[in-house]
Amino acid sequence: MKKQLSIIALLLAATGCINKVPIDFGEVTPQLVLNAQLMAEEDEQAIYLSESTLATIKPLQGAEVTVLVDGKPYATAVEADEVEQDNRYASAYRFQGGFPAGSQVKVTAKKGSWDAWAQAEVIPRPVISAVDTLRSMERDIDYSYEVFQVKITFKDLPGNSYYRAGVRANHLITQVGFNGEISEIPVTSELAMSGSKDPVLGGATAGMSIFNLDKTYLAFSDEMFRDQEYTLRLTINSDRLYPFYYVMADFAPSYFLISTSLVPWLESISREEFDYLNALNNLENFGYTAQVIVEPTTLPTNINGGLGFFAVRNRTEAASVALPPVRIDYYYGTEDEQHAGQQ
Amino acid sequence: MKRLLLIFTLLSLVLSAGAQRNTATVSGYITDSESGETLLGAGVLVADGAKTPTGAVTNVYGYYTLTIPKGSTSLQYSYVGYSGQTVQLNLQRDTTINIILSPSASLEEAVVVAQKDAGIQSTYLGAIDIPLNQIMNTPVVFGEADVLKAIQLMPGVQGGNEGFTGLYVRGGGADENLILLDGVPIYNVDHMLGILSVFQTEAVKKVTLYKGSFPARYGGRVSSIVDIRTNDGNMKETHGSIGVGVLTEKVHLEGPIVKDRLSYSISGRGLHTLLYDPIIRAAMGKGRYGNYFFYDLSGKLTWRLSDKDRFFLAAYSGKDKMGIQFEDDENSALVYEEVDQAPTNYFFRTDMGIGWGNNVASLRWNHIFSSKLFSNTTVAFNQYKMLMHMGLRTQQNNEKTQFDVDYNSGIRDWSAKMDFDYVPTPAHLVKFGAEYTYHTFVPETLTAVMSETINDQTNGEGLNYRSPYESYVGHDIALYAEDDFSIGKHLTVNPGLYASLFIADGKPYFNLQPRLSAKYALDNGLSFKAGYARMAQYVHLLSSFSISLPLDLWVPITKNIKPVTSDQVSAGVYFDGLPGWEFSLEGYWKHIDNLLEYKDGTIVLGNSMGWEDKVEMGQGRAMGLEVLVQKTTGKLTGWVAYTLAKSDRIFPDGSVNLGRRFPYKYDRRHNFNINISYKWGKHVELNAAWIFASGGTTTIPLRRTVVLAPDFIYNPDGNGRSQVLQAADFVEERNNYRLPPSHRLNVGVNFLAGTHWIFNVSVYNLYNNMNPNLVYVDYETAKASDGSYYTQPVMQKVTILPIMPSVSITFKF
Repeated sequence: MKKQLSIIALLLAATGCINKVPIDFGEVTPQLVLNAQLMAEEDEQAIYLSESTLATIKPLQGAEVTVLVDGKPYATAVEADEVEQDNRYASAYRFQGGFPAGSQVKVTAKKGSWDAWAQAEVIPRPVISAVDTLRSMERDIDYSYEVFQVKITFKDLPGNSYYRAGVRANHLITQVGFNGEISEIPVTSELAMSGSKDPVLGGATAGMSIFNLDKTYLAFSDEMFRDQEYTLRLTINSDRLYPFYYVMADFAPSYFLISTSLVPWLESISREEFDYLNALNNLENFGYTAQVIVEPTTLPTNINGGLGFFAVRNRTEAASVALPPVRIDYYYGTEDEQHAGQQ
Repeated sequence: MKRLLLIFTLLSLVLSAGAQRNTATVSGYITDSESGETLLGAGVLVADGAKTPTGAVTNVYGYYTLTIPKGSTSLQYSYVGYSGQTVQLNLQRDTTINIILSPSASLEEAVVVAQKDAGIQSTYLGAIDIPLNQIMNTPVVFGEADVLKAIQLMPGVQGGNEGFTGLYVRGGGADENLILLDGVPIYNVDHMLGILSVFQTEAVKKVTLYKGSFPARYGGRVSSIVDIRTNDGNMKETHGSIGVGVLTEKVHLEGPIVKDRLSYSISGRGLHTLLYDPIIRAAMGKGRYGNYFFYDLSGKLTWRLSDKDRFFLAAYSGKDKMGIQFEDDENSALVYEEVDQAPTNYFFRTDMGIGWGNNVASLRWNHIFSSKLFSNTTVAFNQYKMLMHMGLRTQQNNEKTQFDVDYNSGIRDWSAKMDFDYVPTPAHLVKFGAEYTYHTFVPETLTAVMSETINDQTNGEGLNYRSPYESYVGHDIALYAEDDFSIGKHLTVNPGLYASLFIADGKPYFNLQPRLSAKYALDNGLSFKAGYARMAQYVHLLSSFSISLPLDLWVPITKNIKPVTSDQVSAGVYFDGLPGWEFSLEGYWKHIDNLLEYKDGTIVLGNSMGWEDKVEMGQGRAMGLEVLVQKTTGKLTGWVAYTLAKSDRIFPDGSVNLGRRFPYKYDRRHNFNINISYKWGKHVELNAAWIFASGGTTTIPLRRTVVLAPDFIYNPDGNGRSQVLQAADFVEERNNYRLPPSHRLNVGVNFLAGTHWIFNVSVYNLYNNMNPNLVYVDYETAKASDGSYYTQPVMQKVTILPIMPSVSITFKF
């Protein structure tokens, strides 16, 4: 359908004349962008700073970044030595710490004339009262796969509450060579969850189907279950559970043994973050740049003196659920080469 | 509600009983002497110098009724473009007088009547009769006279996208206009994505626009009513016309089947590509095809059974269709030679098509119960459908693959309606009635079928997907009553009530919609009006694109989606004391509730089928000042219209623009239109229209930013947590940028050769101003002064309608 829509748009463009419209952007001065999603529990935390202009975004280095809790200095974030891979848009400033529920966490960033800050309250952690899992088999055209259902039951927090849920998969990948070599590689992945409707109504599934709406960040409100106990249903298909790639040891593998445990978790988030994650869903669906055929996504920002978004989450993890190990045979090269242990 | 109606009826009976002793009623039809067509809005005035001017106009069926004191009197009958008639009579009892008026070459105004259904003389505000000659002569794109394009030149009405037929009235959306064809709503009124409307002007008799204090007999939309009435067919002689233009070919034929009793009217129009489709197929060669065409077909039978009964059977069918087909079986040799395989038989074919259109049929019955009571009964069927299809066929040796995807959308109505005109006393014109519509909505269904065969044996299970069939049924019931009455010499008041009940998705929605308008007229031609109207709407058009697309969805209200309602107050001052001129200054304020808007980041055809999840309800407000100066008689006619307007929206739940108020997409502060026609001698008509509009709004990102996605990717070393940073456009507000104004000059000349031939030459957008039809943000690389390169956003506009000359020729017989 998008293809046909694009054809219409192309036809329109082809039959018309395309000219530029002068845009008066005014004076677009560079602006500081601060992004941070801190976790309430003790952990290594990161604050990301960038410099934004009309058309470019680049890491902001050399800033002073401080963290205050309830008005008192808590930590100074230290800039990472280099711009990290995959983070070419921002410089990371790290510190170690955690924050109790109810505390006010404030971060400030200063460089030259830039002086930005943001503040958030640490919402109490939700309490998971029960986790149930169910295994079944499903069939799709010409293959079968396992389906794991994880049900998280919890009591709604007082007042208007917002949550985010998901499942982390802890894999231990054992690489076994032809000569009995063994290497164990731990891999952790947060499963991307999505659902065709509000997850409260229809649950969510790890991975995406072409006919489902992407709600990758699975944020939801308590509008349907205010002050009650609620069970959220998450579905994981085995064909989307295991990592697509991982670093292999330096010997030819005969097979891999993947042991997986699932860790369901639930976070309480602010209303601001709920709006932010919904906006992020939209950007994820249709790209991060403005498009003709998409309603624009207004991006929330809660940074004073800058752009970006700051949040503190409080996560509760349930006990892990161990899945039966899966063996994956590995084929590369000719059979003789496989037996010879060569690539 | 019942109690109100009962009181109203009893009051009318009491009033009429008291008046009957000294009065009598004159009633009848006013028709054209040459064709027998009823004349709508023709006037009858008591021309005996009475202190209180008394008069009436014919209703939309050409029938008038006038109750006056018994005794000798003189009645003047008149209609624009016709010679008037005066009838002297000694009225002692109810009398039927059917009047036949003859067309006149005189360009002078008809006699002013006391009451009218629209215009300065009516009690309603924002009610305009669109002159038919202006519809025919207004120069438009491709030289195709168009009803909706003429309406766009009225104050308070915007065309939305440059050159297209959308109507955005007083801050409302394109779906907030009830467009009636002989009383039946038309859902999709566009051809060619909105460049032309579906209405053939040859068949049109009268067009009235209501945008202020709506008559109580109308309901179902919140912004405007466009009431289009068509010709009944010439009762006396066969006439017709054949026209050929740059874009279309048109034919119109009407005439008597039984003279003065039974007539027909048929009109047809089609894009040239329809007729030349076989040639296009042949020219493109085997396995290739691409074409687009549309057509309109309408017909009407009028049967005058008796003086009291008339029947009308009408039908309309129109369709747009676009198809592309591509077939290829030549590449296999090249592909397989590269990998040292023997060439194989390879076949590939893809075809895509989109079709959309309306089918409408109606049966109407006019019955005269008495000289005071007239009725119209209508039974109608109305359907809009859209279908998209994509098919793929491949074959490699004995392996065949077949894949088909179909997408449907549509709406179907069955309706029945009764309307009554009742004149109990000279001072009262009461209209009341009831209506029921059975709606079936199918917003979207998707089917996907795929199969694979090897040696004609099915391979695998294939794919057979059908989206959950979501059709909605809606029951729409309405009752209305209104009374247009005079109090003294100067004051006319029209109170009314439209009560509607809509049952959809198992939930009833009831709306009482009061209407009130009042006019105070001084003797010197100066008058003041004020009015209030509440309207409710039970259907929405989900449209994400700025031009009319067949992909737009008509959806009903549901359990979760409430009816749209609007409250509008308006007031104005008017002057028609200068013969041939009309001046009006009118202001309005409108509030709209439960407007629908797509949530941030959605499109009509996303990856989800649930439209309810994609939209949010909010509020809108609009206010403005409209000035209209019309010259209605003489060689030079036309109007100048200016509108100062503002409209915005807010969706408090936060899913649109984070709950903040933002300007409406078509919030154009200034609109200025000049539309003139000049008769130069007997054989030449010059027409020109200049249109100016402030720029609408669009959303552009004003800078780049970074977004931080919550961790969900895997971390190879198992330590810590990875988070993903992504550059993105920063959009702070929806519709944050105001586009430059658009303007254009359209000119046209009609050359009349004898009584049969009309040659038209027109130029749309004479000075080739590149007005935008589509605006989007793009990025380009630029070089800084220091030699480095950077990317910057640029706004691109697509102009589909630059300067466009056109010619057409029409033969009338």
